[in-house]
Amino acid sequence: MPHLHTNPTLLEAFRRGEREALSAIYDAHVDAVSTVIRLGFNLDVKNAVRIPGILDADQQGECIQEVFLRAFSRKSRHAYDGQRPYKPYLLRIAKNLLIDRLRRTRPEISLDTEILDSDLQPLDDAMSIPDSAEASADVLHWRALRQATLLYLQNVERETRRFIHLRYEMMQTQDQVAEALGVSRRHVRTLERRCAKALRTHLRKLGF
Amino acid sequence: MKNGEEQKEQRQHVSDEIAHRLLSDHQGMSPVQRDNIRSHVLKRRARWSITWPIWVLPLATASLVALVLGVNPSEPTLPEFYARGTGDRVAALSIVCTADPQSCRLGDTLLFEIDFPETKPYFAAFSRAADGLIVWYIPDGESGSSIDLRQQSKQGLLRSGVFLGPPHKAGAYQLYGLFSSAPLDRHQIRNAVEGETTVAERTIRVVPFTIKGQNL
Repeated sequence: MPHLHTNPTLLEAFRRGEREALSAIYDAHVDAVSTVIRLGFNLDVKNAVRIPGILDADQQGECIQEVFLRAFSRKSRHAYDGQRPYKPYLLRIAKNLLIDRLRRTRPEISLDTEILDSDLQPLDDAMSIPDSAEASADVLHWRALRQATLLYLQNVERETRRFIHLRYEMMQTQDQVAEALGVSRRHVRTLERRCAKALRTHLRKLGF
Repeated sequence: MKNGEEQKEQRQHVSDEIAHRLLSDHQGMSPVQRDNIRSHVLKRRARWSITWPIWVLPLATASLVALVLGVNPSEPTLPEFYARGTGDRVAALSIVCTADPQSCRLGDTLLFEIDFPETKPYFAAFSRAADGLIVWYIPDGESGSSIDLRQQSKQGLLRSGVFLGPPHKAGAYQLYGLFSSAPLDRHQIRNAVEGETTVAERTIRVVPFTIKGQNL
C-alpha cells in the first residue's frame, strides 16, 4: 500500500495532483471510505453516538465520489501535512460529509429567543445513548438475492461466464478484462450493462 | 426507524449497482462503481502530465498553459473543516434525530448541532413539554453545571446525545439551550431563562420539536 507520509516522491506527486499518484491513493483507501459511507461511524466512542451510513447503493457512490473530490482538491492536498498517515485525514473528510448530509435532511426548525415566565421544575435526568443495530432482515435479503444470482450464473453462456469471472470475481479493471478477452474497453462497458440488465430481469422474474 | 413497508420497498429495488455487487458477491462497492468513481474523480482533479520535446517548448508554451488551465478548472472552496468557537460567530442551536432525520420518535437519539462564540462557550439544555413537563439534559444533576463546548463538542455536534425514552412522551416540546460565559448550575439556569439579570452573560435559544410515537 502506498504511504504518503513515508514516501516523499509520492507525496510531492500527490501535492502536484499527478494522475498516477491520485489513482494510487484512491485505490489504497477507497474500501475504507466506502465502509464509513455505507456503515456510518460512532461520533464519540465513549458515548456511542452513532452517525448512520447510507443505505442506497447509488447514493453511496455519489458520496464516495464527493469524498475524493474534496480530498483531492488543491486546498486539501496542500492542507495534509504529510507527517502522519493519510487514512485518518481522508476518513475525517468522509465523516464530515456524512454529518453534513444528516444536517441537510433534517426538517427546518426556526430559532426563536423566548423567556419562560413559569417556575421550572426539575425532573429526572435524561442523558443516555441507545444502541443501534443493523437489521438482520437486510442480511437475509442479501443472501436470498445472492442465491438467486447463483442460479442465474449457472445458466449463462461460457463467454459471459468468463467475463463475469474476470470483471466481478477477480475484480480486474476494464482495461485488463479488455486485454484478456481481446475486445475494446467500450465493449467491456457494454458487457457490464448487459449482465446487470439480464440479472435484474432474472431477479424480477423470481419476485425480487 | 423506517417502518416494515418502507424497508421492504427499499429492499425490492435492485439497481444496476446492486446487480454488479451481486455478481461480485460483495456488499461494498462493485468494481464497476469503483472504476467509474475513480475515472470521474481523476477527470476533475488530476493534472495531465504532458511531455513535449524541448525544441517545441517555447512555441507551445502559451497553448500548453492554456491546456493545463483547461484541465485544472478553478476549484470551489470546500468547507472540509469547521472552525468553531471563533469570535465572530453567534450562538446557534438546532437538533437532529439519528434514526430518521425527518422526524423524532420515542426511542431515537437526539443530537445537538451547536455553534458558539468564544465569549459563551458553556452550554446547558432542557426541554419543556406542552403539558409543562420539564426534562433536564445538561447539567445532569442538581449539583452539576453547564458543560464546556470547547471539550464537549466535535465537528459542530455535541458529543453526547439524548435518548428519547422515559420520561419523554409523544408530543410537542420546546428545547431550551443556554449559552453562557461561565458554567451555571440549575438554579442559575432557571433564573437566566426566567429573565433574572444577576447571572453571567448568556444567550438563550429555543427550538420547537415534536416527538412521535415509537414504530411498532
